[in-house]
Amino acid sequence: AALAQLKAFVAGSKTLSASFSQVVSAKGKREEASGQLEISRPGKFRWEYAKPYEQLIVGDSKRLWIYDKELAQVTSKSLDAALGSSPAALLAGSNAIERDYRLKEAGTQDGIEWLSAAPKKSENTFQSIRMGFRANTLVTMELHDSFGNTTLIRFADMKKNPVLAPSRFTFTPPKGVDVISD
Amino acid sequence: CATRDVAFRPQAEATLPRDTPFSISGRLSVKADGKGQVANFDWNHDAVRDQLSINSPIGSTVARVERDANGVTLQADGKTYQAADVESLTEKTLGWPLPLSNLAWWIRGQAAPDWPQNVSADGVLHQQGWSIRFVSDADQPGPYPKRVEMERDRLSIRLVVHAWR
Repeated sequence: AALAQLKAFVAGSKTLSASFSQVVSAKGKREEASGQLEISRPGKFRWEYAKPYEQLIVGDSKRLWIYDKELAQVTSKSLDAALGSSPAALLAGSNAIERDYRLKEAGTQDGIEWLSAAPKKSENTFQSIRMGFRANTLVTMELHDSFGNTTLIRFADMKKNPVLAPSRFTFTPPKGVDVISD
Repeated sequence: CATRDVAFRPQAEATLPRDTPFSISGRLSVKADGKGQVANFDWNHDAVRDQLSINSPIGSTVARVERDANGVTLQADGKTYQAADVESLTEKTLGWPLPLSNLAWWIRGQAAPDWPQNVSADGVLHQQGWSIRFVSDADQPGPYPKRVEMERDRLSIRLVVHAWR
């Protein structure tokens, strides 16, 4: 079942790396983006967009950093604002998913077992999230917000427990780029 | 590779600039006294209607501003706010005034036609109390600026567009 696969996935990957593709669709809109994800539990993640623009999101377990290269701007936020910026914040917690979401089995489709996650606190930016698993590995996520946007994320070439340097999860603003905080 | 940023030079406006519709996606940052935000945005514009969505990196809309003939509404945090113009509405709800109608011209590297303006020697446009710098990429000059930087009092707003439709 999907819940068992989630637990096995979290337990089986102290660190994680994968590439992701993201499609955001709504009435009259379809936007694609892609990049790389790295996770080091608990609480550290790196969610980096390469296309169509370069934007780096790093959670160092205390703060969330967003660096947009073309804007030449860095933003530092408290970590609880993290989920709105990247599902990696959800994936990087050891139990963030069970703690903050009501989880329910949501059936099987072409070999993928689905889990639905509804936020326990309503102020969350997403109304509902679905996570798809195969062979104890997260393969896809679907996020729906209250404005009718659907974000579909697919993960590929996922490696469990790769060696990841600690520096991957710390962020120092590049020279000459100013930092704003919330 | 570090891109070489140069001032964007709009082509000489032979005829009165026409407010052609556009639909763009990009990112913006807003800064006031070192505090602020970076966000993605989608903006559908034509002469009578605007819809600007301010989004998270993964596509969820955090706030939506809609302008049409009978006024302006802003939806955020499950609430809807209304006002006569975008500046007063965004100042009241987001804490900073968004000059949306003039921004529709600045985002294209042009001065707004019906406002007094002057351009200082360094190419910075001064209009509606804002100083607006248009930045282009020396190696990939396009029809529009790569980045628009706006300053007024202690507020600075930056926008880049990655999709023009």
